[in-house]
This record gives sequence, structure tokens and C-alpha cells, in this order.
Amino acid sequence: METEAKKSTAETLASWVQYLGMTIAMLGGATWPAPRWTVVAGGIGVLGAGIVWARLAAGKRTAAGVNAGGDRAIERVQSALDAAKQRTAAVRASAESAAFEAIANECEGIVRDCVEAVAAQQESLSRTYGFAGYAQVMTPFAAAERWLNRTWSAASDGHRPEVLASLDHAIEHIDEALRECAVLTKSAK
Amino acid sequence: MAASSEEQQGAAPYREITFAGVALGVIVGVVMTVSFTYAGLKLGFTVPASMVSAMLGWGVLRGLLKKGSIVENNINQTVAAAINVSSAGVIFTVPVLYLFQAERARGSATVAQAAQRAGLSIEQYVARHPELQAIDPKFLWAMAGASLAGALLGVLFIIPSRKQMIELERLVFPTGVATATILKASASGARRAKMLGWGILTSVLFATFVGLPGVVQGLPWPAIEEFSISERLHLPAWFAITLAVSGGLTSIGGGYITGRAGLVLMVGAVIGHWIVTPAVITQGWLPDRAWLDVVARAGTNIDAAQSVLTAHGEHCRAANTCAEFVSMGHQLAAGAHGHGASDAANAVLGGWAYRNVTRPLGVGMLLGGSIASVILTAPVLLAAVRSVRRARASQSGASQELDPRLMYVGIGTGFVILVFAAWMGASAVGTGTISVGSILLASAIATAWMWLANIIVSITTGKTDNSPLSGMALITILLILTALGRSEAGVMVAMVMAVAVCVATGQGSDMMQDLKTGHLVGALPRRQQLTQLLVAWIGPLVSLVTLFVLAKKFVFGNDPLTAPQAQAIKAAIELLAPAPDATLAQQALADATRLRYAVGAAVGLTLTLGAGGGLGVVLGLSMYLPMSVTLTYSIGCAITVWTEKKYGRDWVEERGIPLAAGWLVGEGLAQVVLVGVDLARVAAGGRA
Repeated sequence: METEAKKSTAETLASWVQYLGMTIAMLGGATWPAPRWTVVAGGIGVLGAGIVWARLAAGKRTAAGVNAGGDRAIERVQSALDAAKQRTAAVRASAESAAFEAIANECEGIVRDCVEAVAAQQESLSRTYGFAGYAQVMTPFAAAERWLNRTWSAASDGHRPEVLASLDHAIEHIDEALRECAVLTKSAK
Repeated sequence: MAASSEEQQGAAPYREITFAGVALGVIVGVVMTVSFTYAGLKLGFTVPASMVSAMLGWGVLRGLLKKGSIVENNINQTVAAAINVSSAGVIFTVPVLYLFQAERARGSATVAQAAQRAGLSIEQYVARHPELQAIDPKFLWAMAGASLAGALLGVLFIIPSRKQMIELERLVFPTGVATATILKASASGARRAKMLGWGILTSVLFATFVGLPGVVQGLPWPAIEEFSISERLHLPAWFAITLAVSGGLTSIGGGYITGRAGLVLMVGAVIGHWIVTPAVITQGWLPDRAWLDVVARAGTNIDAAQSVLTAHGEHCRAANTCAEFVSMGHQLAAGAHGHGASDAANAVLGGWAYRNVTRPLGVGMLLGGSIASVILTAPVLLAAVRSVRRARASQSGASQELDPRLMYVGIGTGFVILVFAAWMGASAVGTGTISVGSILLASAIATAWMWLANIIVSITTGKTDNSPLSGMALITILLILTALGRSEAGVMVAMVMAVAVCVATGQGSDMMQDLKTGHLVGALPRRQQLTQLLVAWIGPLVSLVTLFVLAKKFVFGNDPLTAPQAQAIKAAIELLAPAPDATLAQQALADATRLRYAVGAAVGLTLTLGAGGGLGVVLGLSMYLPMSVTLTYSIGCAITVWTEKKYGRDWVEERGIPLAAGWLVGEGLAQVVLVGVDLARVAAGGRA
């Protein structure tokens, strides 16, 4: 799965400007007997400039489509959700007779490959659809992740009825995540 | 994979909340609370019960009873940790009352006469008479009420943040991950189990080796708390480059589990410890009083300093300034009285700048960063509360979270208990009165702050595994004393609120660690929340009773129960809310500290609102923590980056993380053993 791309050089430099502003403000606050308020204000000003620069650089990166912009991010999320749906459904189809170890291994693989791929798109999705947009998809998918983890535990404990029930819950939540993803894509258009 | 037969397991419901799991958790939790109330008073820190309890859980539930499941063992560790976690809140705050009482005794004419008759100094006399620190039982009831309210509110306030912190922001919670690694160890494959075992073994051996001289006297090696690289490089002692030795593997393990994201902590540490602290000293941003500390503490072996101190100490304290001390302090620091004196003087200066400048700036930043985090995440937090309500309405019984009606009732009940505790504490003081309106105001402020502090501590624990509990207690005291004024009753109410906030933040961050563990093993959050809520009251009561019994035998603040955290809070009360007869120097320092909180808050607020990601909270925490902890932790983070680059992510997950989890567990186990040895010695009449 493709993950979030690295920050641009401008964004990294902007971060260092933020740290510089913080240092200046802190030094202004460390003087005795009272803070030097002009230095504190100057530091906060530099910090603010760094933040603005970082936002502009991030916006430029997204607009240029160099890295994971919103559309590509939602495509990656959609693809991870589809993969999770297929793989979980396959595990469920054979779960009544499959070896517990195989069930546990596949659940672990789904969580590692698919859930983390969606979580990695947090920044891109948040930038395009807001944090609430990311939460809209991630909330049901994280619930599915927990049910997959429960499947792993139940399989490790050798409890087949719980394995089957947990897989059903996981599929239910992945479906919900897919629906939310579709709503998000539609709202963007 | 599982040893149990499928037919047997399949016939019965999947074991989660069971009598065996809860009972084992209660037993382990109570034993660890008693042990760590004692250890915390002696050493100033406690150890979470979750990992130790998870290991015992395997032995008892699956080994002896032959029927334990992973999620059942998770409930066992949730219960044990919920009980044990409150000991930190109690021991950081309640002994302050005893310390104040002992101080009153030192000022009493009757005690002075008795000491003279016994041929002892007043200090020695008080240290040998625990009855002189005894406090009115009403105070203890007030503290019991405060800790109950804190336990209840701490769990309930953090529940709506679960989705935000664990599912969406996916905070690491290293202890939660380590506990999950243990819970899953038996079925995770031989390689992971082996690495976990190696981690535990090496950590137990290392922590026992390091900690044993503190318990057993006469060993051929010394107790080493930290390793100073500055000293080896002949740098001034205030330029802190130190590594934690005691607790070192815990810090490295925590850093390793956090990974690259934890490296940002080093930025705050560099700004705080390598830029701000040295600037304060080299630029002379120090009051004269700091030099008085230098002469008094670093010059003890120098006759000249001693004579100046003896001749003019009281005069200088009263006059708030003393050119002789400033001059003498400068000479000491510059090495005019020898290399050893210079190192000691610089260490005192570094400590002064850290306590009075860098740390308050860091606490302020934590505060500002958290307020910004709450503003930024408010829509999601509100959505989480709404979704809990919707889930209840649409599919009763199937919700993932606790019933919101239970939450509202619990929060109301906690508030009423808090008001009652504050009223009881204030009325027991006897001198000065506080109106019911003031008590209600203080309770409302403390409850609102408790909610915010809970979020602060949960974020810092989630991102770094470190929690600024004592910093939260200090802000509570500052808020309440600002609202009520510094009367004796006002201090009492502030203490009640500090106890409640400390217990609440401990419970809240523990709940989140447990929910993280639960997420990784697929536990149902509602069941964990309910279990934690039902047993959270046990810990504070056990810890209070233990403290009460210890106070009958030992005088807090003296060897062996030096109560370092409580002493720090007492000093902070005196600093932040100087008595009416305080000197001008004390008032000036109090004013300066408040302003530093404000500067830190402004920076934390701007940084987090602008850059997001809880950056202000993390950088504030790294200015607040000692350099030894941050540097050692960052080394753990750097090792993750290096091993991932060299061996790949699979290697990190298969070998690195189980080993790191073992280091966290082993240190906890070793501390339990060391405290057990120490308690056995005390019980046998040996010197503690």
C-alpha cells in the first residue's frame, strides 16, 4: 500500500522557523524579574510567520499534485477498504473449518496492510475534506479493525463461535466505511 | 496457537468479564497499591500494574485455572491497573498536609522545650515523633472524598476521547502496546515470545543491579540514578547532557515503541535545557536569592561561605538581597574555591533555573497547547458524544461505549462528592471561613480543569508515555488559591482539589492505556469502561489507609519516607501562594512564575492552533521533563528509525517491539521485587 508522502523542503524549513520563534519567545519569558514582552511578542510573530509559511507550502504541494492530494488519497482509501472487504469476506467464507492459525495470520495481515494504509492518509484527507471527513471514514474502519483484532484473539484462544461473530461485525463495519467513503467522494464532486 | 480444545471452548461463551479475572485483578491491584504507596513515598514514583498483572494473569487464569482467554486477561490487567494507578495521585498530594503539620510542630514553643529537655535539635525531635505530624481525621475523610470523586470523574471524563485518541489520531500509548504484547505473546509465535522473554530478563537483571544498593546497604557498587555526559566532557553542570540509568531501559523501550514520532520531544528539550537554562545563568537572569541557595548548598564545605552564611544568613533572607552572597556565589561558580565547589555551584544554579524558569515555561506550554487541542478537536469530541447517544437510541445494548446517561449521573455524583469533600476539609481547619458559594466556585473550577487536565495527561501519555501529574496538581493549587485567596481554609480546599485532579488524571490516562490495549486485542470498550468504573474507588482508599498507617511510624519528609513529590508540591504552594508575611523576594518569584506560565501558554496555544498535531503539548512536556528522561527516550526513538532503515519494518515488529515491551515489563517487575525486599526488611525491624 502507498503511504503518505514526505514533506517538502519548504515545509521542513518552515518548521524550523516555528522552532526559532518558540525559542525567541521562551528566552523573552525567561528574563528576570519580568519577561521582556517585546521579545516574547517578536518570538510569537516569528512563530506565526513559520506557521503561515508551512501552510502555504503544504497548500502548494497539494495543489501541484506532487504528493498525496485529496483525490489520490481518497482513491487509496477506497482501494484499501476494497481490499479489506475482499480479504475479510474470504476469511469468513472459510472460517467455519479453517485452521485457527491461518485465520489469525490473515486477520493480522489485513490490519497491517489495510487499516494502516487508511490511517496514513489522515493528513491528506484532513487537508481536503477536514478532520471530520477523515473521521467519517476512519471511525467505522477502526471499529472493523477492533473486530479483526478480536477475531485474532478468539482464534488464538480456539473459540470458533466468537471468531465467526467477530468477522461478521468486522464486515459490517467495513461496509459502513465504504459507504462513508462514497459519500465523501460524492460531496467532493 | 491455542492449547484448549475447540469443542470445550466453543460450547461456552467467550470469556471476558469473569469472576476469576476480576478477582485476580483486585488482588494484584491491592497488593501493588500497598507496595507502591510505600515505594512512592520513598522514591517519588510508582509503577503501572498492567504489565505485571497481565503476566500473572497467564500463570493463574490459563496455567492454574486452565481456561483463561486473551480478553479475560485484559480485564484482569484493567482492574489491577485501575486500582494501583491512584496511589500516585494520593502520595503526591496527601502527605503535604502532614508536612505542613510537622512544620507547625517545629514552630511550637512546647516542642522546642521538649526538644531541649531531650537534648535534641527541634528537627531531630520532630523526626522522631510521628504523632506531631498527626492530622485531624476529618482531613482524611475529606481526602477520601476527593480521591473518590477524582476516580469517578477521571474515568467518565475521558470516555468520549477514546475514538479521537485511539481510533482517529492513533496515539501510541507505549505501555498499552507493551501490555498487549504480553497478552498476545503466547499466540504470537515463538520468535516474538523469545524476544519478549529476553527483554524481560535483561531488564530485570539491569534494574535489580541498579536499584539494589538503594535497598540493601553495604553492596560493593553504588546506586546510580543517571550518567552525566556533561561531566565527562567537562561542561558546566547546568548544561545537562545526562542519561537515565535508573529507569533507563523503560525510557529506551518507551521511545522504541513510539518510534520516529517521538523524536520531536528532543526539540523542546534542546530549547529548554540547552538554550533557555544556560541563557538564564550566563545572562544573569537570576534573583539574588538564587545565589543565596548556591552559597548555602554548594558552599557547605567551604569555611568562608559557611561563615558568611552563619553571620548574615538571616539578615540576607530578610533583606531579600545581599551583595556578599551574590559575590560569593559568583566566585563559587567560577571555580575560585576549587573545581568541586564550582561543579556543585553550577549544579545548584542549573537546578534553580530548571525549577523556576524552564519548567514553568513548559507547564504553561502544556496548558496552552492543551486548550488549543481541545478547541481543534471539539467538533470531533462532540460528534463522539453524539454518536454514543445515537448508538444507544438505535441499537440498545450494542453500543461500543458506556451508556451516556450513566456518564451524566456519574459526573453529577462526582461533583457532589467533591463539594462535600471540600466543605469537610475547609470546616475542619477551624480558623477562617469559606462560604458555600466559594466552595461551589472552587469545585466548578476544579471540575472544569480536571476535564482539561485529563485530556492533557492522556495526550502526553499517548504520545510519549510520560505524564506531568505533579504539574497538573500545581496548576490546580494555583487556580484555586487565586480564586479563594491564601487563607488556611483556602489552602485546604486547594489540596482537596489537587488530590481529586491528580487521582482523576491518573485514572483517565490509565483508562486510555487500557483501552489502547483493549483495541489491540479486540476487547469491547464498554466492558472495560464499566469494569474500571466499578473498581476505581478501591485504589484511593487502599492507598489512603496505607499512608495513614505509615504516618503512625514514620515522619514524612525524613528518611526513609522523604516524600519527594509532596515536598515539591509543598514548596510550590509556598512559592505560588506566598503567605501574607512572605518576603519581597518570595513575592517577586511567585509573580515571575505566574508570568512564565502565561508566556508558555501563549506559545503553546499559538503553536498548536497553527501547526496542530498536539505539538505544543509535546514540546511543553519535553521542557517540563528532566533532560535525562527525554534524552534516553529519544535514543529509543532513534534506534527504531535506525533498525527500520537497516532491517525493515517487519524486523521492528517481529523483534524490536517485543524486546522493547520486555524492557518496560522487566523494570516494573524488578521494582516490585525491590519494594518487596524493602518492605520485608522494614517488617523485620531493619532500617528501611
